Amino acid sequence: MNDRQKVIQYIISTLSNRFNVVDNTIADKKIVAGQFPDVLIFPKNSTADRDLLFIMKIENGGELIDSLPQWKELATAPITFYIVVPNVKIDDAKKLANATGVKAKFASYQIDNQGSVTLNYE
Amino acid sequence: MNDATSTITIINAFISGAAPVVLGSVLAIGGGWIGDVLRAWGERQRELKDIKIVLGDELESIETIIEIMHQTWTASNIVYPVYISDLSSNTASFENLRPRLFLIKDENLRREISAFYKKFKDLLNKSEGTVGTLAETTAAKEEQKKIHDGFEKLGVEAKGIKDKLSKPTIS
Repeated sequence: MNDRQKVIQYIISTLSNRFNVVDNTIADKKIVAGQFPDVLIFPKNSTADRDLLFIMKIENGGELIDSLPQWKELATAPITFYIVVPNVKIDDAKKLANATGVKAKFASYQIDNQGSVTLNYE
Repeated sequence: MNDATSTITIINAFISGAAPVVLGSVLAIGGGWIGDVLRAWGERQRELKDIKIVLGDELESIETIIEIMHQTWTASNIVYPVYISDLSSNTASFENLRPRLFLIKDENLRREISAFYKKFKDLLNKSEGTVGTLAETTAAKEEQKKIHDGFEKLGVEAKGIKDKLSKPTIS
């Protein structure tokens, strides 16, 4: 399991008591604003597009700048957009989003040596 | 018949023949002017009626969306972003009718309408990108509550203005 999958599994396990959390990196992907967000979050007992509450893009080792075109598209959707980045990249991600007018919320994660994930939503 | 008598005879003949024509002309011009005034007044009244209906419909739509937003908030403590998007599409009537709002004679009501839409659009702009949070912190929850409360207050204002517009005495 790569870092992205670990983070997605963590998000599913921690938010499933409050929301219907969908891993959008596997089959039957949903398109939002012409892109494939990594995670879709609906209210409990709903997967209706109109009810979509949050979309997430999980960033890992790659350059943030490479993801900017996707961020820009996803930020145009009338849904709260979370950019999830490693702790060490949170400041860079915010600066990049701010400088390019991307309206998003941020979450930062850390994966320790045992593979345990901790995630902090802003 | 002397000269004076013949002059009087001529004048009499002129008056008896021309007076109805002159009087008719005056009445026709006056009548035309009154007709124009009445027509313009009628058109303004129709336009005012349309403004009241269209703005009233938009305000009712705003009120309804905010009410649904409030219900989902009560159930989940989440402001659904889709409602912000729905509300954003409910300012077009005001924008289109803005130059004709002077037809509403009640100056206070005109001010109230403009002030309402100003606050409404400010809150929409502020909410874009901030509505909805997964953070469980007090600050994050407070921020969401503030957004919800702001819209709830505007929902009450929208209803008040809509009710005023629907009164037949408003002209």
